[in-house]
Order: sequence, then C-alpha cells, then structure tokens
Amino acid sequence: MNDEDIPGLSDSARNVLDLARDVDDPTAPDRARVRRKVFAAAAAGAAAGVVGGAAASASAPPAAAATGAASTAAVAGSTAGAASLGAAGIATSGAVLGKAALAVALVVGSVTAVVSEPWSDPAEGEVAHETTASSMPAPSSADAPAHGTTQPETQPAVLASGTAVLASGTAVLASGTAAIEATEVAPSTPVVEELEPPARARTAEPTEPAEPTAEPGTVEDSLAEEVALLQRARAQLAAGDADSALATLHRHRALYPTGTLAAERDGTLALTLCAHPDRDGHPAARAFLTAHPRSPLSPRIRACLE
Amino acid sequence: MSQLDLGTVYEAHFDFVWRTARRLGVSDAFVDDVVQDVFLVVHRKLPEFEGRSSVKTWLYAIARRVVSDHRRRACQRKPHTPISDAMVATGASPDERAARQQAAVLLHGFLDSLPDEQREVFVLSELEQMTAPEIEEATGANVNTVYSRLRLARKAFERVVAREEARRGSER
Repeated sequence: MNDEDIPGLSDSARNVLDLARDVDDPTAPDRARVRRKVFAAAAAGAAAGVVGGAAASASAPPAAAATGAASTAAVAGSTAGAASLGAAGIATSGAVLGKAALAVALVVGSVTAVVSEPWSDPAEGEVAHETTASSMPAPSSADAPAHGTTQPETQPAVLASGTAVLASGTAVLASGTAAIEATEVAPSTPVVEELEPPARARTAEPTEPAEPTAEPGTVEDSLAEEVALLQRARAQLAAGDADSALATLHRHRALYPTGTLAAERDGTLALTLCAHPDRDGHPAARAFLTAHPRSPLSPRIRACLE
Repeated sequence: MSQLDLGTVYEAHFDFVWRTARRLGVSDAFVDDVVQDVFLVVHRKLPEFEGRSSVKTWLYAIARRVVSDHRRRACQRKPHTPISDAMVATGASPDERAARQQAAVLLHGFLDSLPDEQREVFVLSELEQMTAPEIEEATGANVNTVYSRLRLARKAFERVVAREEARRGSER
C-alpha cells in the first residue's frame, strides 16, 4: 500500500509477518478436497438454490460420491494431494491408473498397508459407529447440527445428482477393484501393538465438531482424507502440540484402521508418543520397527529408542 | 471478462480465499465449508460480474460476507492453530519451524484481538499487499478510512511484537 503518511512497520514486526506469511496457505489436499466439493455441488445444481452456506454443505456428500462432471479434475487433484505428502516427509509415490482407476498406488518403502488388530477396547464403541457411518454413501443428517445450519435444499440436490451417480458407476466400481488389488499386494502382517488407550486422546476431539474426514465418500475421497489427517497430525507434531497430534492420529485409526496410510499413521504415532512429554513411546516404536523394519520412518523411530 | 468460469476463478484464487477465511478467524473445522460457500456464490454470481472491480476484490467482498454469515450462525470465533505445509516442509530446520510457528501464533493472536474492520485492512494490506484503492473496493470503506484503520492496526501490531520481544528477552 502506498501510505507515505503512515509510519511503516518496524523491522521486527515485518519479520514476524514474513515468517507467518505462508502459514495460512492451503495444502494440496485442501485444494483437491474443496475443489471436489465445489464442483460436485455446482454440477448438481445446488448453487442455484443455495442460501448462505446451508445447502452447499448438504449437497456435497451425495454429489461428491457421484463425482459426475468433476471426476477427472478430482482425480488429478487427489493425486496431487497424495504426491504432496512427499514434501511432508512421507515417501509417497502416487500413480493414477487411468481415469477409471481412481485408486492411487501408494508405495511407501516396502510397506503399503497394515492390517491392524480389531480394537476391542470398549471405549472404541463410538468410533466403530463413526466408521460405519463413514462407509455409507448417504448424506448424514448428523452432519447438519454439526455445521450449525439447517438444510432445506438438500432434497433437490440429491435428486439432481442421481444421474451423475449412474454415470459414474463404472468408474467407482473400477476404482474399487484397483483398491483391492493395491491392498492385496501389501503384506498383511497383523501389527500387535498397544500404543495407548484411545479414550484419553479423544477428550481433545470435541474441539473439532465438523471434522471433514467423517464424510462418506469414494476411494479417492478416503485417500485424500487420510492424507489430510496425517498431514495435520504431522503439522501438529511439528508445532510441538503432541496432544493434538495424538488426537488426530487416533481419529485416523478410528476411521481407517486398515487404511492405505495405516503404516505411516502407526509410525507417526510412535514418533508422537516419543516426542510427548508425558508418554512412553518405546513400546509403540518397538512394535512399529518389528512390523516395518524397512519403512522410511524407521530410522527416525529407531533414533528415538536410542 | 465473459470467458471467466468457475474453474478459472477457482484455480487462480482458491489460495487467496482460503487464506482470507483463515485470517478472518474461521476455525480449521469450518474453513472447508466457508470456502466452498464462497465459490458457490461465485458460481451463481459469475454471470453478473462485470469486471468493474478486480476479481480479487470482488472475491474478497463475497468472502467477507460469507465469513460474517458463518460467524453469526456458528456464534464462534475462536483462535485457531495455524497449520500448513510450510511448517512441516522438510527443507526447514527445526529452528526455522519453531520461529515460523511462534510468528504464526503471534500473528493469529493479534488478528483475533483486532476489531473486525481493522483486521481486514491489516490482512489485505500487510499480508495480501493490496493498495488502499483496492481495499476500498474490497471492503467498501473509503480510502481515508482504510488508512486510518491501517494506522491503528499497525500501531497495535508494533505493541504486540514489542511485548513479545520483551518477554523473550526476559526469558533469556
């Protein structure tokens, strides 16, 4: 701004601004996720009747499941999102297997996916419920109060997106197959671990009422959400907020116990516990190293045992 | 300007809208919703956009309305923890990351403490590098008002930074 009459900022104030300038920028998964929602909602005609934000939120889940006209862009977007994880320190190589195959083959060291033990902790009851809900491709009415809005325009949007659902059916099926193949090549070693009682971490969760990850969606939706969750956890850890990182990682474990990025989650969990002032990360670190001795995360995890 | 479509606007300005939502105090949990709403309004209003203002100031005017509606509905305006790629970038040393994190917390705490009208002028001027006439266009406040708000906000920011430096100095 050309403001010669106003005293400019001092060097130290300017320095603070320069340091903080980038922190509000979106990540690639943010860009891809919102893009998918916006274009799906726009394609479904929800925009025509949108009043404030209400209908937009309501119409997004069915339309996003359909992908419809936005599918190509969304695929490209989520791939970019997955690839960006590399920058965040998780070695991820994303490859899109043609338009139909929405699944991204994630190669992380020698490990692709981990089959975890079913969670038997009674405290996990609510989590099991969340997981079930998130696997249903239907708009969750429970989302509405969380957004603090009413959604009178939901119905037309759902109808409008119906055609798109049919049109994209083949693509979704194809992506399902690809996902299964991707999972099958992974070593299905059950990880025996007791990382921590999840109930403790979950006490921090009510501060995040409208968690975007609870949304129903397709394979690439899940992957984008997994990426976003892990990225968030890593950022929280980098910011020294181990409690929030734990909460985020437990959320990932609750939503995607055997997700594509389950191994990264478990590794990040071990690192977070190691960094936590009040927690002992050693059991988790040892369990991870036993299950994934050659993971890219293993050297760092080994270091925290030394 | 008739060739403008949602995709073009989205690609060119998504980051700006996202940053703006965060800097106007939308918490992490709601940024997705707010940004999505902004672009749905854009989608609806794009045919009416006459190019009399820049796309960016037009977008800002939409974003501040959506944010304000959101705040009214959600009745919440809590400070948030800034998160970004920048902070977890592998190139950054732990010291750099810590410095960025501190600066981010300081900036967001400061923004949260400002009256809304100063807040937006500070964000648009100091962080988005908009000129006073652009801010006038984006906010509807005339240039003199923009300057006077900026002056107040800068003074407040200097105080916050000085206080922080004094605090750190005394810790050493």
